[in-house]
Amino acid sequence: MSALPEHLDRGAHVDLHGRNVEPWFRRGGIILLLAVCALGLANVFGQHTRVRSVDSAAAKLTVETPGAARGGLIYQTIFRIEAHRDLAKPTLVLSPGWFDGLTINTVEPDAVTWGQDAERNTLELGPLRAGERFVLRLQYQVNPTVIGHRQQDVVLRDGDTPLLALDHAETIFP
Amino acid sequence: MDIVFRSALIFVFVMAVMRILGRRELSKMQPFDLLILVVIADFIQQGVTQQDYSVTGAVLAVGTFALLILATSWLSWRFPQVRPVLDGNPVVLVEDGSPIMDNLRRERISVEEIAAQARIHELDSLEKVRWAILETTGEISFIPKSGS
Repeated sequence: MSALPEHLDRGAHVDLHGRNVEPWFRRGGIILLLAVCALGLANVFGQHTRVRSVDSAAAKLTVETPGAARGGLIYQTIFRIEAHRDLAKPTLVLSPGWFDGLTINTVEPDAVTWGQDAERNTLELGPLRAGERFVLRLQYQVNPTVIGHRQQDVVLRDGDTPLLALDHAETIFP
Repeated sequence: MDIVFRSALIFVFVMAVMRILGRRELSKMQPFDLLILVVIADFIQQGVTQQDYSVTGAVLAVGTFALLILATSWLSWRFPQVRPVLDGNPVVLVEDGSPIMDNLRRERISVEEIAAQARIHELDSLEKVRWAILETTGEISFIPKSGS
């Protein structure tokens, strides 16, 4: 049996004693990478659009927006309002989570009046007759430095009278 | 501040991925592998600097990477016990002309591949190899038998 080169040891470098754990670390790493990719395919990291609706005798509100997004991504949120009766001053009340750390590129069509109620933004949309529909589109871009979970609640009011409320949350990944 | 954190996170992630891929994959670069490496570098750049086109941002990102390279190199030199984690350990693949099949399987290297590497080192048969060692760099070093 030849002598091993200097600094090499039969146990550690030929028989690999005590190194049985190394391949398992590698396999563990591969499983972790697979898990991350699988979660990505399952839209856990965004930006699959979720559609949620609430209905009442007065109106129906549908919100189409992602539940998760990543820094820098561009996405669209759609609010659909269907009036079941005449609404004189339909107003969307959006919690700060719809604005903090997000750039709004466009709002189509623009609100008749933008306002504030406590820390929430209000968008008065103009009168709607029974059976009429209104679609509001907001084009967003996530600011790259923003991370975390945020509440994005929305309330539909007629003037000061709340008609519908929809709770939504968004998670922003780095 | 977050560009430093992003750089550090990506550095650790890339280091882990390189260790998972294994040494041989990194050392046997084919044109396709080189292309993949460039694409990976582009992904990394986008993740680290994102929308930041400033010189300050570039200085922070490169500075963080440089310091972490220095830190891992110092750790590897100062504490031999962490060297296997950071750099890996050499593995003997051939002893006295006989391939060590367990070690070859573990490193996903075939006998044909090691024979090809031996030919590059002007050894026409593994019989003439006293030691073949997979080094931590991913290169295979050959020590021929006396007179080979």
